[in-house]
Amino acid sequence: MSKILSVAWRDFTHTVLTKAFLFAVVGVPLMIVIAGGATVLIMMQHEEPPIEGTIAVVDSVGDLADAVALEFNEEQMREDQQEQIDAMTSSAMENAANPLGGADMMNSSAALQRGEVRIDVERIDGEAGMITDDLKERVAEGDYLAVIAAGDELLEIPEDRQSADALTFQVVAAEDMDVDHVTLIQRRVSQAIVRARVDRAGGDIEHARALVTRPSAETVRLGEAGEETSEGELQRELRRIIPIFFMMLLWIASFTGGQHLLMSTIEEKSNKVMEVLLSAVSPMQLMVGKIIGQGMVGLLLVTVYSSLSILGVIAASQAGLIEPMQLVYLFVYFLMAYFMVATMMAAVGSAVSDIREANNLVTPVMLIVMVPLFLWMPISQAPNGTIAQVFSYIPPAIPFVMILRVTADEPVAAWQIIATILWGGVCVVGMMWMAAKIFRIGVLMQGKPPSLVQLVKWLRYDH
Amino acid sequence: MTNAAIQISSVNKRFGRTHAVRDLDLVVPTGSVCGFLGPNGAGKSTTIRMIMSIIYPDDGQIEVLGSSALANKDKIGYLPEERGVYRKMKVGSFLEYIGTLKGVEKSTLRTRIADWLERIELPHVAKQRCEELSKGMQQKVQFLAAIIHDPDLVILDEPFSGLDPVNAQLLNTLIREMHESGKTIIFSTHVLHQAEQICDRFFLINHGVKLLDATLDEIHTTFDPRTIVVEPVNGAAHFDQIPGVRSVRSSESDPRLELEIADDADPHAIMRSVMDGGPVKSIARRQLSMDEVFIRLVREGGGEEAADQAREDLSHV
Repeated sequence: MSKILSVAWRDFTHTVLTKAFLFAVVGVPLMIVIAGGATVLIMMQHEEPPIEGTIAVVDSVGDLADAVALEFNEEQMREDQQEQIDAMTSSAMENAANPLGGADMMNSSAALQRGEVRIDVERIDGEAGMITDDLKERVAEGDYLAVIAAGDELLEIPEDRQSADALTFQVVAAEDMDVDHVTLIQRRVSQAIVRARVDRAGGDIEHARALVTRPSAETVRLGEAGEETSEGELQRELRRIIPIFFMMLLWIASFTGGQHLLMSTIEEKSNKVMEVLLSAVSPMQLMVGKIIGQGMVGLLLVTVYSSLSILGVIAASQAGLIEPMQLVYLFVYFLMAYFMVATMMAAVGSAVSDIREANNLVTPVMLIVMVPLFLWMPISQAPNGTIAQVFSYIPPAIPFVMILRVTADEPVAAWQIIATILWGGVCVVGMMWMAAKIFRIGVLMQGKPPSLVQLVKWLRYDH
Repeated sequence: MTNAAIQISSVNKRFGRTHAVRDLDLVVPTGSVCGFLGPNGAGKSTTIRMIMSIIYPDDGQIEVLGSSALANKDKIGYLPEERGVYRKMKVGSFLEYIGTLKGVEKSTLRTRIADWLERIELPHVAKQRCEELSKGMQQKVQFLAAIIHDPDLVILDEPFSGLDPVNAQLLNTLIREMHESGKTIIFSTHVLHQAEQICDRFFLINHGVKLLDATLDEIHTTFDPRTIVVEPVNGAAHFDQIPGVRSVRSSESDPRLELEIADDADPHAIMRSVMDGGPVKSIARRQLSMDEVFIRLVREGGGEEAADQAREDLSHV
């Protein structure tokens, strides 16, 4: 046993005490935190240069220019800013679940961080939707910040939403105008057009806004004892993310450990140190020691990343989202996942002489273990569905599927959890036995790497 | 046999269609230094690996230190032919790791490693990474890894390969010292003159078959060329007149003469007769070198082709 532990300790220390590993474990999360913090800081500190000047609005009637002037009114802008803060809070929650929505959030923040804006509006009596060359010249000369023109059709009640979407108005601005200022003008004029349109239709814009504002839900969840637990939007979204987060954590940690195991086994073969080791320990002791050593590496990763995540949810006052039992499952299924990946990696690593040869054998292993990633969606949607239940018993998918299931909303029957853990344990022992057979022969093999068929044949050899 | 460090009985090993070791019987007496000879691919490393229980014989028995190598791993020092070091590991840590795997306490190891590094003339490398050492230095470190746990039985597979003459001599001395302290040593080599200097027993195998198992004296007796080499002071005398001398060979490049003597002749009597006939600068019985014995046996066992191959192997060392 002490020899196994010596092998394990060497493999562990010689993996974690490398610059590359320290960078991966500490450096990468640290960089993400620093980069995230710096971005927020920069965004908070950032103010576009103040903008001051006059916008010319081509308007034969006069109501559009008034509406635009109202949009640039300081008080109106303050109110809008407050609205945007509120909107951003809820959009941030949506963005957490939907990364594609990130663009909206950036727009909101850009508007929020804007510098001081003082814009006067001058009405130009002219044909609606037409911007004369003279006006364009004045923009170029700097007399106007921009000239706006909107056709009459923009101010009438559109036939339907589709035709309304197709309508455009014109903005002529100087080439060097800050893009945020251009965006600001576009958005405010767009709002002004809606305001003028509602006015012309005889309505009230605030009334109309109130009418189209969508209500938000107040969800009440019932605990096992029937007690009510209120849950906000953010919690709901986080709850959806947690299973995939747990599975990815399991996947990354078990694969990092497995990958290091593969590399260190290949290193020992290519460095010709293998036979020296085998004069001191048996192949089984060597393999088990290496698996334990790299398992500790994976466990360290799980601990670091899950601790950071728990700190994150505690910081977000959402500690209730992660239950202690889920962490126990994470530990148990990590061990299962790691041992399954590690036995395959040890077998492959022992059979080849360099990393290029390993790729041919690792690819099938990778494909097998990636199956749960592809199954994430159907399993998340139906944690007790047929697919989820079937794959809960197929190695090496067992731990990945089960961690998705036990961290999902829908409870999994206790007997299923126990059964999968027991069955997974049996599978681990079986895989370990097969890996040991291959390892014992593979570590002394040189030359052409074996095919998968040959590896299977090795299982039948006695010596 | 109680005084046998290694006892191999009727061992066979096949790899697919290749019969690597055939019906091998071998006894390595405790406290002896045995040279394990044979051309490339003869089955030496396979036999050594079987002795070490790294691979197993198809049939036959191998007893090491009274039981199996597995049970006695910590009493055996092994320098494999395929040897290496952890390139990124520091020399001291590497030796400590191997020593720990061999069951030695860390506290003992630290002083022992320092002492041994001093003895192999590498006193300042403990903190250096293995990859920073030259190939020869690495080989000395590998040798140290094989014996750092002070084993009773030392098995060295091609220990001299790649060493310069100075380091080969150093290794030679260390092997002698280990022998003097009572350890059993077995090593395979192509450097036969080194083996001749330190071995008291030789095994020669070819194509997995044992061709020779004898002490140096037994070899000299068995392979006596029945020749006396003499360098007379006053040129050629009438040596062919001496009773028992069959023929006298001479060459232009060498002033010495070779007297081939009859099988039943007494070489000492002939040598006395030579010296009675006139002054000589030197006179000695000719003995076959291990190289010549090696080539002759390989030729007998595997034909001229095998002998040519053996000559080529020897010329490379």
